[in-house]
Amino acid sequence: MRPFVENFPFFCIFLAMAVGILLSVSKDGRKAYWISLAVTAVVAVLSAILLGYLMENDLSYTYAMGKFPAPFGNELKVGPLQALLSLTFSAVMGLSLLGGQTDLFADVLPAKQNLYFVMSNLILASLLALTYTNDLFTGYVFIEISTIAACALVMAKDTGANMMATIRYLFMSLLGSGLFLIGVALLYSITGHLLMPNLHDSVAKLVESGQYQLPLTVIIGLITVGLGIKSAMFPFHMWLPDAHGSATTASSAILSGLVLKGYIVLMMTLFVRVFTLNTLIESGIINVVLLFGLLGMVFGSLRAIQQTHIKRMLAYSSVAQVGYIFMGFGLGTEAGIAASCLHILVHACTKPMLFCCAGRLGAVSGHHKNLANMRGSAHKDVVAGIGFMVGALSMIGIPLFGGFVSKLYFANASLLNSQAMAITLLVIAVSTVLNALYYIPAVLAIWSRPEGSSEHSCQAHGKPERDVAFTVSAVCFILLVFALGVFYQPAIQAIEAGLRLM
Amino acid sequence: MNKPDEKKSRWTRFSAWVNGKSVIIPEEDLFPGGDLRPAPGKKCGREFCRSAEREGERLYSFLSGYTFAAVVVGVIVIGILMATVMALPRFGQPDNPTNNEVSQRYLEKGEEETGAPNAVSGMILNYRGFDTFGESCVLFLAVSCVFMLLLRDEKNTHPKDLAQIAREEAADDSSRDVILQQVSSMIIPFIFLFGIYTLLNGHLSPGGGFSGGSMLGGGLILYVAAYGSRKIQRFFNGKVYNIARVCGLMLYAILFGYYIFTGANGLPNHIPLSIGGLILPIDVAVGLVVACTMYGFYAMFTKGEL
Repeated sequence: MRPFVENFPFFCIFLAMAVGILLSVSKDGRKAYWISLAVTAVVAVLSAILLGYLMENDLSYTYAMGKFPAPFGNELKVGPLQALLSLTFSAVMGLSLLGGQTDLFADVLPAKQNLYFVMSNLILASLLALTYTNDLFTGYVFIEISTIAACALVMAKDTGANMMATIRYLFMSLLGSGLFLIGVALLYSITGHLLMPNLHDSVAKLVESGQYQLPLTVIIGLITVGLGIKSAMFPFHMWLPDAHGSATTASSAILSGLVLKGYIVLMMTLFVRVFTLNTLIESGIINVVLLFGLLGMVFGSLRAIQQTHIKRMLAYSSVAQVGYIFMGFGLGTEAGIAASCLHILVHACTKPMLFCCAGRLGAVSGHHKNLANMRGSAHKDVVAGIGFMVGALSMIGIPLFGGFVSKLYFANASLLNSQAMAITLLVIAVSTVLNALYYIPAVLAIWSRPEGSSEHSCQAHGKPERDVAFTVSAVCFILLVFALGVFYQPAIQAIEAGLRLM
Repeated sequence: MNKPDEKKSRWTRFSAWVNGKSVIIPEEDLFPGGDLRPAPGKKCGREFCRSAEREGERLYSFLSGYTFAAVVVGVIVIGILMATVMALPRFGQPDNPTNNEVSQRYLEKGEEETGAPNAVSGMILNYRGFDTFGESCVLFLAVSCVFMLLLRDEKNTHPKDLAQIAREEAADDSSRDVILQQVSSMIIPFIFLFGIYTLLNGHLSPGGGFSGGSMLGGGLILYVAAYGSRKIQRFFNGKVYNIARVCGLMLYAILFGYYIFTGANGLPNHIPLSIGGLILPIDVAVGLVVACTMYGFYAMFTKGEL
């Protein structure tokens, strides 16, 4: 009889799935919304308890999904890193729904609001499953779920631009799933396993004996590119700005804060648990990941500078931030992966906050999304203005904000890799300057009053309605970003313990 | 206010850019081929026409380069995959890596451990039932997405279209296809019977939830095509539809959740192995979901409502 707390991952996954299924018969969008928030809260609390338990005992365990132990049945593997990630995912999911509430109920038709929450709950379930799974095929199944549900989140707004973006997203995403599936099928045929520890042993044997070298390299490439397309790795990011820029606020927040991360976490798990860093370094794939990451950091930011639409700017900034994460993988060291994990947390907290604040600032300035039309909007909702500023400073990497810590860890990690050290440090510096180049003007624009207008003209539109849900979520997000920037030590400890116990 | 000669100075450019005015590349709402037409009723201003023209040129140059690049990338990927397939273990050899202890146990102990002589059912619904639960959720999600997209609402349906559909339906109801009706009245009972047989015997013989469910769904579709949607709504309307698919998935979730909880904690479970054990009820659940998915797609794409 195992301790009861060890059942929590399974409870969380099944709770989110069952609630998602049941919500499809609800008639009332508001009720469905509150139930979904409750689910995210329950999952967050359970994950926090689990994290405490795992950190205290310094252990990770496997959990058989059924009577038969792996490799015959499915299996979850739970460690501190997984618990930390699922805590972050569920908390951020709840806060994003809270922050985008007003836009959500305005953009989605009342008759279809319950379907939106079906999708959000199943996305939460798939994120948890992608984080916890110890089985490659379970990973694929939940990739499918999150692909479909994520497209539905983009589509929910139902305008022409959204449909175009959804179709593009769907095609790119399916291409990614397809490549990943081919990779899994090929891997199965040369190893005969789908369970990660067994795969690890088989792959190690193949590498040692020199058998099937070409298929192995192709498989690593297919899986990396497949998951890379879905998580907007640099040259495959074309779908992201439309999808994230045009969706409703909560969808943008969930998509760029969380859905991208689900795939990245699965990739990280595969890199560490199955292929091992040494194999990746030998096959040369790691250098490709590093290169794509570095290019993404620069070109994502360059494209963001050109944007005048605030949400598209944030979307391109996501491309750059995802580039940081891949750069960390590409360093090929434990420290690099730890820094990437920290950046996953930071970006998962910061970007949804930026999207929620951008949505709110747009709402108070008459539903404009252009920076030119949003001048002075921060004065109409001070919390949104402060939230946007905090998010921007965190993404640039100012000390005391979350983004600074992860960049510091990236820089430290790059010192350990003698070959890539110079270029990595240089690109981090360039990318930081570029980040500042688009975030600072945006912050200046929202805080500076338009020319030739005084207090009256701001008031002329009438005072915007207060949005309590948004204010609560923005304050929580701001606290989270500061918590990651100042009290980052526990997070780092959990990540390091998690990687050790992977 | 910018004077024309000042406009070129760097500082103005910079401040315009800070203010979010598009100077570098006017890129807002850049969806090649997207909403280029103005909304009906609005006049096409000169500014707009010019931007539409420019968009068209961009799209054209994008597409011509795109075809070439797509062919090159496609050929390279095909080449790589072909080379990989040549290097894979030969199909059907006894010493292939896939013939290991896992498949051996499925084949040798499957019946004893899962209560299903059909090893495939035993594997997908019992050993790896969690994956199959995920797959059932994929079907459920797919049809929910189609609901979200196509279910009639004020955004995607014009009152004129509604009137048109009502007229067509009335015409259909007054003159149904006699041959289709006679043939379906003979065939449909057998389709349902065979569907149910396949569903209930999934643990014994080839078949199960996915194949049986798609037969049931096919039967429903034939019924609607022959007799019209008004007839089917007497026993299968939106409410029954939702109850059927939610009950199916929840049955699966509850049964398998119980099975996982007892299995992982080493508790005894009280699921008998004699009459198919876990597999028979799960097959029924999957069958309901699959049938509802098939019928849901048909109903959404033809009428936009259940």
